[in-house]
Amino acid sequence: MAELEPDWQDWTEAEGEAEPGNQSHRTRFLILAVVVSLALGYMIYAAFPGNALYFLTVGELIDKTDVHDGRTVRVSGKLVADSFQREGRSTVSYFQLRDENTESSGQHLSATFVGVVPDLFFNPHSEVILEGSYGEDQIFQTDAILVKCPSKYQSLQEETLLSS
Amino acid sequence: MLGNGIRQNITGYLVVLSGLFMLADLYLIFVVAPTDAVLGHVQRVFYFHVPIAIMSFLAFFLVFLASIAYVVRRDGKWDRLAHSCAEVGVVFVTLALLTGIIWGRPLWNTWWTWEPRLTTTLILWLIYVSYLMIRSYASNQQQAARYSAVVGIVGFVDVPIVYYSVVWWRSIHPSPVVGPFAQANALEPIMLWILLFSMVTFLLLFAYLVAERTALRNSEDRLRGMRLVLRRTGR
Amino acid sequence: MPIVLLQATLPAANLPFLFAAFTVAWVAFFAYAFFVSRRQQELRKEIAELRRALEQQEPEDAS
Repeated sequence: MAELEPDWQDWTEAEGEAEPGNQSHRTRFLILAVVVSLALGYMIYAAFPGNALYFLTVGELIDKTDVHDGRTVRVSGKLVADSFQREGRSTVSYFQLRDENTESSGQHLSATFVGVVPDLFFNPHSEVILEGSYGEDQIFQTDAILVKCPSKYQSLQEETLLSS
Repeated sequence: MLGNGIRQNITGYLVVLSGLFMLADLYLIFVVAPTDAVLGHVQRVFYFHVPIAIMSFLAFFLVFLASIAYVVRRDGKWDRLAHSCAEVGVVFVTLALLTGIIWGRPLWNTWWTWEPRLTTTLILWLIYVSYLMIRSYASNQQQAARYSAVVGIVGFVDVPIVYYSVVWWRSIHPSPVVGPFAQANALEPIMLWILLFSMVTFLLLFAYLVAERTALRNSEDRLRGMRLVLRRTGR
Repeated sequence: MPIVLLQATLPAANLPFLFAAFTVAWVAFFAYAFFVSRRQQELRKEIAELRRALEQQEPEDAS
């Protein structure tokens, strides 16, 4: 009688002889490969649609006139203090962004947004990323507001101690 | 190779140990850890999200090493290790994505965005899900081991890309808080210690899951081998 | 300090998201460990049964 518990090498070889890879398996692998490469292609396209950068800075967006054609772009900056205004009691709002480290000098980007603005948008530590388009009217039409994580975490107690 | 008894003992210790560490970890995260000044309580997800993501990197690194060992040695034990780590790694990377999606909503004001780290992590998920699919599509165990070893070696390329994505490209993720590219004082000391404790906790949990999955794979192989012998001897 | 002022300095708690994230992670790890160990028990039982069935046949083989 053959040994009841064969060695891995032995039984897998026996199995390989009994069930060699056939045409249907090759088709399955091929379909898997096609689906995976299509998905990869879509992801790379979604991540870099015509632009290798996830977002532009305020200065870059204003200087790059070739993207001022209504295409969707992302721009990142800090909210200019006290620039946020609402149109009456509506959800239409206007505000300005600036690049970091350009408190007084530097360019400001005027933007408008319709909708509810997230809480963290107003936090002085936050950096804001706007998705939308910038055209000839020189006002950024915002479709979505994203808030970038602060690159440091700080405890509440320490923060209040520092600011008081 | 370890005997079954010793192996079961180790798995038993690991499950108890990771359970105890997990309780301590939850206490540290919810009671000891300070509330973040900007993000509030939801920042506590950080102590789960980051270790889970790093354990998935570890898992795929082990898949990479074990796949090379399999290609060189053609020994089934390396395939068993690679397979187990890949499956546990998929659990971890799925949870890194899910916890990220959940706390991305209050943090970033979006569930998902096609930014470098999210995109490369989704690619990572896809690579190791196809690793598992290739295995289940293969007609025999050796074909499964051979094909998946190739994916396990080549697919690992994406792991450093995910880590460096926030250094190389502009991202909505913050720059690394630990490791060679960490900013000074990115974390307060107490936050850093809790993060490190959490990493140890998830390392234990990872070790337990891999031990359990490898034991299962051993049983799967034994049963498959026995069935094959029986079929050949006509019983 | 008046409560109103204190609240103004506190960031939003977003507790549902906090608990959702921890619950998802916990449930997934438990479910995975549970399924793996249950499958392991099933296979061990199957192996033992197979072995027992063969040992009973063994004497006939020898004759």
